[in-house]
Amino acid sequence: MSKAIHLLRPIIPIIPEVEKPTSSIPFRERVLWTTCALLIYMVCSNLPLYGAQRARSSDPFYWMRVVLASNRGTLMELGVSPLVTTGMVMQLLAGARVIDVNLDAREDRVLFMAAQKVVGLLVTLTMAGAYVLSGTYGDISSIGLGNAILIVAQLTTAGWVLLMLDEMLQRGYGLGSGISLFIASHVSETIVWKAFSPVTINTGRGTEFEGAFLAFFHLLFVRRNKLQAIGEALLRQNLPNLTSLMATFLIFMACIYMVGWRVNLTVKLQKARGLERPYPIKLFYTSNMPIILQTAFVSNIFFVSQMLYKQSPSSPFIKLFGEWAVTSPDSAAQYSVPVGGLAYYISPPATFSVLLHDPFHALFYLLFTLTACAVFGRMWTEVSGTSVRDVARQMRDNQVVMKGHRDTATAKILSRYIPIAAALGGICIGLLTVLADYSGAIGSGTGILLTVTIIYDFYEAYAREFTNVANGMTQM
Amino acid sequence: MLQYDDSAFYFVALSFITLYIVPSWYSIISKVNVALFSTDEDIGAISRTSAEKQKAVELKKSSKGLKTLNSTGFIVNFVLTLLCSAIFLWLYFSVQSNGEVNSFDPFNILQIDTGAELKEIKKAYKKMSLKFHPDKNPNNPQAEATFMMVAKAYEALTNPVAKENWEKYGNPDGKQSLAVSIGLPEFLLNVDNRNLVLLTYLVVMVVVVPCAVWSYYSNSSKFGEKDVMYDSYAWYHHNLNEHTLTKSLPEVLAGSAEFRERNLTKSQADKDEIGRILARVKSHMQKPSYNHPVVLKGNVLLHAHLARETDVLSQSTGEDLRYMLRYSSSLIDAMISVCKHQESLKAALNCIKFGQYVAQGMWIKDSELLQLPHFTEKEAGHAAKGKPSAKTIKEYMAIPNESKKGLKEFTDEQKEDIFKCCDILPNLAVESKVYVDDDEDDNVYEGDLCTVAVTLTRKNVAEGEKAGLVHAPRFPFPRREAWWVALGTKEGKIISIDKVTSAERVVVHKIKFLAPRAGHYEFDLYVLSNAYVGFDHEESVELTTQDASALPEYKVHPDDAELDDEPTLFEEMMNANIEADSDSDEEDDSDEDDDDESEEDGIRELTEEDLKKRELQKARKKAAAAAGDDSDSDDDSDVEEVHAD
Repeated sequence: MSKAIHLLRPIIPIIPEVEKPTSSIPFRERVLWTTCALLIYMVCSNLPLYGAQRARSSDPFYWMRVVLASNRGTLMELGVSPLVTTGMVMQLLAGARVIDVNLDAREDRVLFMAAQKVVGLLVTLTMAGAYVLSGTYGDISSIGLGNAILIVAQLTTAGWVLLMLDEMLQRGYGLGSGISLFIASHVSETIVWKAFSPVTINTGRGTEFEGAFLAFFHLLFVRRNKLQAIGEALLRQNLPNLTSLMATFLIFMACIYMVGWRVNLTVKLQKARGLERPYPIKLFYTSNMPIILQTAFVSNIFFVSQMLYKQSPSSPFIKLFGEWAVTSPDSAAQYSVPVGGLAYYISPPATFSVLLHDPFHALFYLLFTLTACAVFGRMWTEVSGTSVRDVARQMRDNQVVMKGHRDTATAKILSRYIPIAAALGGICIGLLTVLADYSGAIGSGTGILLTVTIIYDFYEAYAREFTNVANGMTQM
Repeated sequence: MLQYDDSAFYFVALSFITLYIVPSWYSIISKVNVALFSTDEDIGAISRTSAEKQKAVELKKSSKGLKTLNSTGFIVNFVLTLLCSAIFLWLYFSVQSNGEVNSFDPFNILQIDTGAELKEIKKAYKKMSLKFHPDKNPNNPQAEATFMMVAKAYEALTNPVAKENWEKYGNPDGKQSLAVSIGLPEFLLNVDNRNLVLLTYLVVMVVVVPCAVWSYYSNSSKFGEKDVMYDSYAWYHHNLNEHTLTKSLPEVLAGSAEFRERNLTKSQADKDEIGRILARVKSHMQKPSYNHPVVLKGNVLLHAHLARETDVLSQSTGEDLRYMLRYSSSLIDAMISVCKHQESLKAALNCIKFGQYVAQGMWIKDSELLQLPHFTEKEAGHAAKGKPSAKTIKEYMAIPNESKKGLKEFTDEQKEDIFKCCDILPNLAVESKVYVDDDEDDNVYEGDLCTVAVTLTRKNVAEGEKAGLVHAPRFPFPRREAWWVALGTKEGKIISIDKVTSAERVVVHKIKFLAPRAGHYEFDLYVLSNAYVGFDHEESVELTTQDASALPEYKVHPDDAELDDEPTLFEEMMNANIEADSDSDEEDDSDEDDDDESEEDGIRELTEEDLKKRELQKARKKAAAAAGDDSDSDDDSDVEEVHAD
């Protein structure tokens, strides 16, 4: 069993693989590759699926779209979910010793990568099949078997392309990982679209632009009363308005400001004295993980609750869990929203007026999100191996000690900072998300948070790149 | 099928043009502002001595006035902005005449102010309905339509139901069907234009965009670090080695890739001129090793600058020399980094010295005193022979102003210039210290990262002030004062070489390197100016390292040693409350939307692993108890054990 992975050996030559670059790629070139990958993703996430019926049912995965960078009814319907799932499955398999790999051995590493890819391909295929079978694009009987197969083929191919793009980026041709890149670009795209969308909607009140910025100009030119025009551009309810655009911007700024907060501990190497390094403990110690986990948690609850509610809408217990209704038909997009039960109370209030209408909902949502984020933040340190215990052990094994704390245990010093940073960071991230949701920021609080933290990570990688160059020169 | 909408497109175009022209006008105005109204200090055109006056005038001429805006980028942007502004105005007026895109505004229809009183509304309604009544305008469909609109508007303002409908949906009759269109010109969808549109799209996407990216990329990939071309680096690598002397460096600089296009001699007249200049400067030159016209021209021009024979240059060759000098600073820096890469200290020091000569416009055999304004070889000779005699610039500066020699033929004003220049010239004190940055032990052991802290103090700069620009009247561009700090071994290998650019009075520069094996070492420390000749500082740095075995051994803190036994958060929770654990586990795995089985797998796996760990811990504890060591930690774990159970 332990060498089950070796069964893959005969098919290794036919598995597509991105070759490792022979020398390290210059920064400029990596930016180019990253842009290429991004373009391909963008095109894919805007190409509608051929053969699918326009979905009339409400979107059950509405909450997942942001975290999974997926776009309904397009080639990117699956988004990065195959990537994430594959990663998880492989980690589990390796962790559970179902496949026993020694990642230090070259052959095993190659085999493991191959296995990962095979699993990735299978997961994509399965997911695509599941989507079509579940009738997301219309009943199989109504779209026909041929179209069904075509849709599966499209989704699978797009998923494989994404897998290859991610591999390319991770192999050293790009910056950071594909997953975060795609999520960030997805959110940014939404924000740009909401600001500049040239789509006009006429509900009988006259033509209105969907894009908040365009609408501002349009109203300013069209309305005779300029003050009223500005007011309408700022506050209109049915379409994106300037207030939410500004809120988005403010949340972005706040995030960037807070992402930089850190406590700088100084560590020194016992083996090479005189070599001291700053060991920054960031306020956002766990980065955006708390909010990802919280979103995933909430969307799972929503998913289950929605399913249950569809089965038996009248059961009081299920109603307690969550009551669902379709949004008012005049809004541009239709999706189910929770209107009662637990699901309602843990969902963000849609607008400020709703917030005033039901303050208890707002309060509950706030408390729930903050607590969940703090708990998840704390927990993630354990899962990801960044807890006090893990860090201190790593330092001890590498003979790294805190400067100026000879008589105190490293773990003790770290435990003054890490758990607090993890929990407090989680709370701050949660708070920003809630703020974003309350102020109606575009792209949802979670999305903005994800984007900012991802962009900041990119920025840090960029900064590291340049300090490395500088350091390399002084060391020589 | 989505409709495209021409009138909506006007607004889209308007908005995007506004987005472009507002920042564009701002940048144009600020550029013009800089060109016309920037102060002399901003562009470095200061004249502290009369010798610098000429340079300041030249600089003012070249970097001020509308002439400086004469670059392709600025002109293209300016024309584009003007064009866009014109389109903006045209669009603005056509939008104004087009009016509102089908909207229902009852106040507008009744021709009254928005939010007018009920009385006024009624009055207006009566007036309008009388005017457009079908009985009064027979066979006039337009009047009939207007009458209908007026009635509707009146209803929307008076009838509460209609009013609510109007406010909510924009129409007194209630909800209307939703019409969605896109603000793009209609001709894009026209069947006749289909081929043209497709072709344009194809050309832009397949030809123009990739070409633009490619041209940008291939252009930018020519340049390496510090915006110096890769070809220049290759040339330096080929020509520089540890035996390179200062006198051969003008030729190396002249061969840089940056000058290859510009220094190409095209006509016979050019060649003749180069020959003429060559005849003048030949005595200062060593025999050229490259006879390629580009290298030769650059070499000759640079020597003309170094030998102060620039008066023989024609207008165009003068411009060429100026162009070379503009890039000389960064190119010489690149040469030094190549030397650093080759680890040859001597070549690097020679490059730095070459930089000094270029900045002062003098050459190896000249007296250092030529850096002073108005000084020629004659005055320098007087100063050297006189009593007190001064051969070097430092000696000359040390002599009090009254007894300085060689000033006999100068006017009072010129003397004043020289005294002033002596104040500007640097007076640098250097201190160095070797240590290991450690809080316990300052001694240096093998393998330590030791630090050489070099403290530079500019004694000629007052407390709290910063060093000004370099006094270099013959170098046509402003130059900042900087110091090269180099540390090398006695064998001539570079340990570190850095340019200290800070203009503060006191600057501390730290050099870090790994301590060699136990023993006594001597290193050479050089501090050289980037622009002044004769202010180089050289000293020896001693270092004694001890063997690493003399170091006290690394002891793990007892608390840290126990880390492996500490339970993780999950283990704690799992034992405290199984339910809570399964919950949290699910949350962690729920990044993907499905996979119930794998989640269960995860739980089972965790519990198994946990069991294993517990067993291990118990076994360890037993062993520890048997051995009877460290009662403290034992106690601790016992408490945890009880709590967990």
